[in-house]
Amino acid sequence: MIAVGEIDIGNTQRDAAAIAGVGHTEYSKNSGVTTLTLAIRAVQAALADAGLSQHDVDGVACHRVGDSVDPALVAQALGVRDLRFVRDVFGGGSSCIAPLDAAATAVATGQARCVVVWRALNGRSGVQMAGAASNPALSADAQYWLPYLHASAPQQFAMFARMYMHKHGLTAEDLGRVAIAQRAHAALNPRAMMRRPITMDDYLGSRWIAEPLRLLDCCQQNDAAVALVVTSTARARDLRRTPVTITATAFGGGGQLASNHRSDPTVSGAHAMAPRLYAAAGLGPDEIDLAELYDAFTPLVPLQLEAYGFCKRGEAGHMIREGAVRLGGVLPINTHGGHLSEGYVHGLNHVAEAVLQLRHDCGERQVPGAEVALSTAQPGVNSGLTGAVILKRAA
Amino acid sequence: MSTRPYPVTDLDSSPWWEALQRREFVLQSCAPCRRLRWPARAMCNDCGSDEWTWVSASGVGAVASWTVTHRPGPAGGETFVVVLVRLDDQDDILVPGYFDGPPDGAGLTIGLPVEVGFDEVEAGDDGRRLTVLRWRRAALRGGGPGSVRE
Ligand SMILES: [Zn+2]
Repeated sequence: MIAVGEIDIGNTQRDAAAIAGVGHTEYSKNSGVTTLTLAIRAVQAALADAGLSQHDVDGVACHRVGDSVDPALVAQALGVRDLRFVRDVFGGGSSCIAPLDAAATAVATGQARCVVVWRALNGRSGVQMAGAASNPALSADAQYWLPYLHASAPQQFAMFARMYMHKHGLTAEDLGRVAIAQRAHAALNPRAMMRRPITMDDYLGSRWIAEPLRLLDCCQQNDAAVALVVTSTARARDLRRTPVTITATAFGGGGQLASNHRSDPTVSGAHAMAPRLYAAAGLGPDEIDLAELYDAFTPLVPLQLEAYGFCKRGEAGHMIREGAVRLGGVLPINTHGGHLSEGYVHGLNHVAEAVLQLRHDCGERQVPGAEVALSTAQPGVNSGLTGAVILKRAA
Repeated sequence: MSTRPYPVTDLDSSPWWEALQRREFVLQSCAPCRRLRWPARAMCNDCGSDEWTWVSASGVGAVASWTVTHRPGPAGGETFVVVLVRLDDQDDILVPGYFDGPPDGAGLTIGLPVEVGFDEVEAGDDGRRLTVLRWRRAALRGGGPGSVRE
């Protein structure tokens, strides 16, 4: 388990910035519009949610993988006359916390007053992430996998998954319980793409993609955008919604699946990072009310339950079997259905859901009295980077 | 069936690929600290030295993981297997490759001792010849899986 207080990390920005609004576009298989239009729609929705307009925006931040609009074009389309802050992060799910962190720093230091953060992708009708890892420009080490036609995300995570499952005795049924729990959550989420409840028979009967991963171990591929409005906590208090403060962020990683960097690839970047995150937040895993865990594939959920100290290493299967991660359990996870069932907006829809939960705006799927939430990036299993944020309902 | 791409090598890695075309399986060895290195890099991530030589790997290791991809490979069929092998030479070097076995992965276990083999395939739109790794079940050897070879 993670001991808090052993690491000395000053965090002068703790709770200085807040998320004042969230916006989503529809999730679809074919948006029929550009990623610029998707981004603008999500940003406008987030601004309306906050009670602000595009004239209030003076900063923009996003992450993308050569698959989405240039943030300068978004700023231009929003009519920002004096753009005070820009952050254009290269990366997918591993990097999803970085633009939010940059926005929080910008408003906390006074570089900007109102930064919009988004992820916009035509991930189904346009550039599919499942194939993006095949792009040699994205990783020099793709050359060692491509000749075997083994560079897609499901294949790479399947290679990790078998090692991880073997090491801790995790079964297919344990992964199935993750998929089933998240689908049950999605059934309560009108936004989710996949809302029909599934059974263990459905899970075990779903077709193989790359063993040991089945179709129902894999996330959706869709067109969508999600946006957040980040401003100072002081200013957010005067806006329309209950502010959700950015208590702490942390980043980590650096390993690849095939590299002489670590002898046990089942230990992720998140394992090393989590203690720093909690130290920066000044709280521990026991104080987290819900966790939105990056779930491109089911095995990442048990891995992160362990990495973030919600159970000991090797005990996530037990925790999942006990029902701890379902709504009503001790640590509800992916309350919107996650990437598996709500949709895939590269981690940013997880942050948006955490905000809605902390505002107590989640209706039937609301975690009662939620005060503190964790939202994570890909834990740094295959691609090397990770990150996470701890959010709080403003007192 | 999918076309197998020809690997985009770089200035660090091209000698490794050239060795592979000669059916040699090599690693970098750091001159001061003797740490082995793969994939190829210009500097040691342990001691930081940029002095190193290529050395022949033992070519033996153990299966760390494998996948069975359920779509046709370049040779057709319904599935194909890719293994990740942990080298006996140094336990943090994991190298992917094909496996000389059935396309459904039957008989594979984690820890299975394997030895290196090579396979000539066609890659790229112009069908250039490329040598890739094809690991095979090891002949009986002393020391057992995980033993370190000098
Ligand atoms: Zn060295």
